[in-house]
Amino acid sequence: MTMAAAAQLDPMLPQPHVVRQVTKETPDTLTLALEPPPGTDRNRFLPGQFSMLWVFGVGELPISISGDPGEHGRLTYTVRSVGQATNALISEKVGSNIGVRGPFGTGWPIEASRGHDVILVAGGIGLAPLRPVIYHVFNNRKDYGRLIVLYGARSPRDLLYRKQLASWARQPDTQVLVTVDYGGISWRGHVGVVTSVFKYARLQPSRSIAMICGPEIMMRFVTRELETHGLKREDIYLSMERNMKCAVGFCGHCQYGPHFICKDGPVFSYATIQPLLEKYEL
Amino acid sequence: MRSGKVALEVFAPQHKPIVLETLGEGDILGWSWLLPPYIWKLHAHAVEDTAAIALDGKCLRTKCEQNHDLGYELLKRFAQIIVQRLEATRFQLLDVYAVK
Repeated sequence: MTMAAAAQLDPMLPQPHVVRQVTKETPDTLTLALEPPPGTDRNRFLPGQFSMLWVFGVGELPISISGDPGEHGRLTYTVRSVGQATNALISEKVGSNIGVRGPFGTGWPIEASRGHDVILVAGGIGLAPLRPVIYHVFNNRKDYGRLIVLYGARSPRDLLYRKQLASWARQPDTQVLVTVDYGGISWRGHVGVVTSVFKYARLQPSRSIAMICGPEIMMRFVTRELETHGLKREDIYLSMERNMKCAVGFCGHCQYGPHFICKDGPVFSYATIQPLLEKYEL
Repeated sequence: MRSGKVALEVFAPQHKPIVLETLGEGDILGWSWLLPPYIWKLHAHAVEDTAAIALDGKCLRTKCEQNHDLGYELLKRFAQIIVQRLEATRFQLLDVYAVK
């Protein structure tokens, strides 16, 4: 049995992928495009799923897939350097090997969203796990209503995918609103928290599904804002983050109340998870 | 504001101005005329062609004193905006995207 075949049977066995492209997004964030070994089907994923990336000799990290689900033969991850392992990950060069397990977890509700307007609210690096949804909507444009992307970052230099944001904004039936918390005088865009751009979004709450990804505090502010605008809790989805280790629900590191984020999430309906978000202990 | 975009800036000596917030179509710019000491705290800088309706604050205050229904209605509407901005400021102060 080849290593690729063995890895497909054993979710705990990382499979070596080759780094094919490295793109600098911001001063501390890079996008890595990885190529799976031949004869593997592991590049198929649902938007919202994550993989465990292993930097040999350093450690393993859960990273959301940020690429196009319609593109085969490549897995793309956007990684921000926040510590030793992520720093090692973004230091990888083209041609080097990274161990990959997965993809794991639940995806965004792309099937349930067919026929609806799709509202995506992202904060900071949270745009990365939502980007596959944007690709998917554009790949299947007739199946979805309006696409509204609300994106907040700390400052203009922290904005991800700037060229893509501009090109998405030019697409029909698409509204992209970008804001930064702190802007210099050279920044001509919007300044304010992500909830401050909702008033410019042309929302139709009764026919919309919202998907949110960002820091948990930001998601709490955003869910409140969406509810104020008339969205029902069942139509709001969030991507949660905890300390994922095994990624298959064995180890319990990512337990969140009765759920394991790795297996039952990371995407949850707000209706399911709302009572837990208010608990101090979690 | 009828259209355009205005940046609310704070000026600090020997520093570039810091943009705290931008306002656009439908937004209200300024409420310092409504509450004592009636002093502007921020600079407003049009970053695009902007159309806005300006009102004489002192005159409006006098009318509110004469007509309390008008005064109460205005205060209710402005209080809502002030609360929204206060919440946004608290959210901004959390600096949620910073690496902790």
